Amino acid sequence: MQDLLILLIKYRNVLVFVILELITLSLVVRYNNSQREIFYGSSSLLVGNVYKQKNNFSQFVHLAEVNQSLAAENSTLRRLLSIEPQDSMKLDTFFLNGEKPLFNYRTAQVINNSVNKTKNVLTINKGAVDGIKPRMGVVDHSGLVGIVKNVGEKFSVIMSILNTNAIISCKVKDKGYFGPLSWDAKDVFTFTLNDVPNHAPISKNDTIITSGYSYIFPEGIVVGTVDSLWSVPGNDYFVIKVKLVNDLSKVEHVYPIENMNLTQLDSLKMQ
Amino acid sequence: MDSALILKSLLRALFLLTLQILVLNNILPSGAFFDYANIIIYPLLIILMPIEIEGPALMVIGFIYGMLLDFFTDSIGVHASACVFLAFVRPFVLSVVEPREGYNVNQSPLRQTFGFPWFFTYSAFMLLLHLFFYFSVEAFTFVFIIEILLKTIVSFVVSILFLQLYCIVFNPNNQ
Repeated sequence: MQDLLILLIKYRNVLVFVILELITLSLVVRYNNSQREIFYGSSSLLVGNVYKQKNNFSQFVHLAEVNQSLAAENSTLRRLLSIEPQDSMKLDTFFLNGEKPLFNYRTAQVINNSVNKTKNVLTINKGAVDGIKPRMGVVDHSGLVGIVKNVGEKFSVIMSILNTNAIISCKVKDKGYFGPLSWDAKDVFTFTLNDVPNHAPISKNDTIITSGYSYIFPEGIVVGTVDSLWSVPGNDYFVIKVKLVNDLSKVEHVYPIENMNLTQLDSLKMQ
Repeated sequence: MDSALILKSLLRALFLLTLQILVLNNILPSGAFFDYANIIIYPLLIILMPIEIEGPALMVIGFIYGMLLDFFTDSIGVHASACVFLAFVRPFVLSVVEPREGYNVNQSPLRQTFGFPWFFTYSAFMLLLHLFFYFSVEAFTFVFIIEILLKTIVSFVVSILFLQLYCIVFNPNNQ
C-alpha cells in the first residue's frame, strides 16, 4: 500500500495529466457528437451578451456594406414578385385555406462568427423565446449558412456549414443527381460533393442546389457552382469540387428556416 | 506563491482572454496561406508563470483557463486540452532551453530575466507545441494531417509576432 502511494506521488504529474486530458478529450468527443450537448457556450445569456456588446461596436463599421446587400436582396425579391405568378409559385409555397406553409422564415443577426477552425460555429441574437429550435436550417441572402445546434433563451449557436460535422444533401440543378456536400476544411469556398455516379452528364459551372431531402433546408437554395470534377480510378463516383456562392466570413443577417412538418416527418421516419 | 502574484495572474488571465476573444479571434487574415492563420497568444499565461509553479497546480490552472476560453468559442474541451498539455510539457521545454547557470528559485521565464534570444526560443517552442496539439485536438482526426501542419506553421508565424509584440508593449513581469 505504501509502495503504491509512493508510486502515485512519484508519477503524480503524469497521473494528473492523463486524468485532465481524459476529461477534456471526452468533452471534445461529446462536442463532436454535437446533437446532445450538455454545455451551452455562447448560447448562454452571459456569453451571448458579451458577444452582443462586441457586435454593437463592429456592426457600425459594416453598416454601408450591409445596407448594400439588403438593397440588392430587396431588388431581387421585387423582381421575383413581378414575374408571372405561375413561374414563381411552386407547389411548396402554394397553400389552400387553413393549410400552413411548409417552411417559415425568421430573421436574426450574427453576433459571433468563426471560419478558421475545422469545426466552425456562429452565434445569433435569437433564441427559444423567438421561436428558434434545434435543427432549423439557416441561410443568408445568397446561400447556406448552417444548422441550429444549441438554443439558449435569447441566443443560439449555429453549426456553420464550414464544419467537418456538417453534411448537407445537395443536387445538381436540372439534372437531379444528388449527394452529400461536405467542407474540405481548407478555405471558406471549397466544398466536395460525393456519391454522384460518374456517368452523370455534369460539367464545370453547373449550379448546385439543396435537395430538400434532409428536411432541414427547403429544396432549391443555390449553394454553389461546380469548380472541377474527376473520378477516382476504380470508383464509380465523381469527386465534385464545389465553389460556394456566399462568403461566410462576411455573413451578418441570416434567416433561420423552420420546417413546419418536422415532427410529423420525424415520427414517420421512426416507424 | 504570494497573493500579489495570484492577483497579477488573475488580471493577466482576464486581459489575455479578453484580447483573444474580442480582438484576435476576429482578425481573419485571408489570401494564399493566410486562410489557415489563427492568431493565438492566450498561452502566454502558462508561458509566463513563475518556474516554481509546475505539475498538477499548473495543469489545473491550464484546465480552468482553457475551459473559460472554450465557453466563448463553443469548442468545449479543445482549448482546455491544449492548455493542460502545455502545462505538462513546460518543465521539459524549460530543461531543453536551460541557460548554463541554471534557474534560481523564484525566477520567472521572462525577457527581462534571461534576455530576448532566450525568451524568443522558449516562447517559440511552447507556442509551436501548443498550436500543434490544439489543431490536432480540434480536428480530432489525423485525416487532416496536412491541414493541421499547415495551420500550425502559418498560425505559428503570425502568432509569435503578436506574442513578442505583446511582451514588448505590455512588458509583463511577475513582481
